[in-house]
Amino acid sequence: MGLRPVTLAAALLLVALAGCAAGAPRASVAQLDQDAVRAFKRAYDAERRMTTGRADEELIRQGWAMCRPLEREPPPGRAWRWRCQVGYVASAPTAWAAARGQASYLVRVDRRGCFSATSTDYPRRVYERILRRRSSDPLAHFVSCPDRPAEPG
Amino acid sequence: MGTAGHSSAVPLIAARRGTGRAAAVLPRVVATASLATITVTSLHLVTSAATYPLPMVPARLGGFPAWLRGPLSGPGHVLLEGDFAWAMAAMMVAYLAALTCTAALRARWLIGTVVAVHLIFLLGPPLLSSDVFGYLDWARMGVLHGLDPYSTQAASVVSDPVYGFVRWHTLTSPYGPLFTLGTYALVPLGLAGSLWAFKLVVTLASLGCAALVWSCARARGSSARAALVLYGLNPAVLVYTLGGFHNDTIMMVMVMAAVYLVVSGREGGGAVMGSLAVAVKSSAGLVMPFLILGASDRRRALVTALAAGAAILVVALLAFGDRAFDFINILGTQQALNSGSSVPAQLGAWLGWSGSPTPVRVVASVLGVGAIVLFVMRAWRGADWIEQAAWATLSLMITSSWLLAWYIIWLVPLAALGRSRAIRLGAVAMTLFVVLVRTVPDL
Repeated sequence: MGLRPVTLAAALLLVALAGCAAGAPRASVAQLDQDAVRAFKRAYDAERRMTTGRADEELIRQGWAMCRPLEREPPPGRAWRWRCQVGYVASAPTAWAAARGQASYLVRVDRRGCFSATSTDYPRRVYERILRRRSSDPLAHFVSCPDRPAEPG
Repeated sequence: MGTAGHSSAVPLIAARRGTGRAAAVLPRVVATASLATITVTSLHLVTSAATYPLPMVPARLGGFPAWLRGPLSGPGHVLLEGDFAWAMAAMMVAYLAALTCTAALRARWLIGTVVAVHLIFLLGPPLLSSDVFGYLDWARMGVLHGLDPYSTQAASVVSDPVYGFVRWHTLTSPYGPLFTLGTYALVPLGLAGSLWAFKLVVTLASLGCAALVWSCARARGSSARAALVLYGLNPAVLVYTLGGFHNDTIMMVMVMAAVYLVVSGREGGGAVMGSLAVAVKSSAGLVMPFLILGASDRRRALVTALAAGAAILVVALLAFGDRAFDFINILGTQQALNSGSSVPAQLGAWLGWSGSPTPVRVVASVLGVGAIVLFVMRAWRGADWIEQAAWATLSLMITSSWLLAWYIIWLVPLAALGRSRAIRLGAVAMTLFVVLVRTVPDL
């Protein structure tokens, strides 16, 4: 007898969840340019910190990106491949990247708008000062997600 | 006449019965609806956050893997700008309704809701803060890389998988040695495993807080239900403190355990537990004088607390060297910081200053220290020590220039045990303040 209301409440919640599940759309990639630049800026700061040990932030004064799809939008389960050209002007160089430059990235975007970006314009591994060993270069590969919520398209 | 009189009396009594039944049913309906609203809104927030990389999950900038999203990923709506504020408003209204209709709440339903809501937040990603990754970052630094969390800045090891999720980049650990050593034990579980283990610990700590609030209230002869509603359904505690998996929850379960031990006459245990809470996060130190003043043998409680504190300092010294002692001054350090969500900073919006300028900070500090001393004196003279501890905590929160929404947990469990309505209202007002400050710009 005491279980009945609990069972009813649980059933209602499950129905609500099932209803919501029906409408999960692929996220928009309209903001990929801006998201890629923001992620590149963080990766630049990370490489600087890794190679010099200095915790400077927002080193890139100007950054821009142009992204274009390499294929038609695939089914929801597969990543969508894009090519992004990123340019920047920074207030200080890192050990490997000049204070201004450009890089090309292969970007894989999932249905949520989250992406991984890989470039061959930077070495795969660089010297990590604090650990005194070589580690993966944050500029050669980084992942991120949109800064703004993706609206259902 | 007699018949007429009789026949006219029957409907009158019936009408009174009907009104009385309606008066009894309405609070129960409101109370049940408030529990349902808090549960459904929590589920809505968590499933939304788990499904899409929303700004309410700051850690998403390091990627949004399945282990971060949790099992509720999938069935969520996109939470558009402003939706979060409306969800918090709904939870706040439901909270106020539950507080008003506490007497009509069935204990089993209330406890079931508190447990269910805790489970919902456990299954979601860390909300509105990525502090939990800061804890794990320092733990990984210490265990995997041999670096001292008390002298090495967060996010120093860029190649560590936790780096992308950490949002602090220049802090050394402000936490106590007991907490730091505890997080070290999680590192062998890997990043995902240690995150989930930590989330579980925080959830159990918050449920422990709820259980201790209930037990302490019963032991003091107060309404356990009213105390549990004030803590267990508090939207700021649920969304910010529990949802963000902040270590303040671990500190507070130890503080509440100390309170319970003192209330139940095990004062030595209470003093030791209070010292351990300080070794998790030194903010617990504010409650220590009240724990000692609450003991029947104050001198003995003080000596026990000092002995426990000395033992903890020896452990800290052995494990981390003298840099570990910096954690003791966290409240002083935080008063030198500036958060836009503090009361002095918000007053500035009306009175014409920005942030917490030095003169404002000095005046606020003097007022805060004065108020704390006043409440210690009152406890010394025999006033209810738990309530004085709650007032002192509220004073600190009002006058500090560094106030974060999840610090609400410092106040609510203590206020829930207060005997006066004023301290409960104070806790509700502070809850409203931290919620409004964080959400009004989005409304």
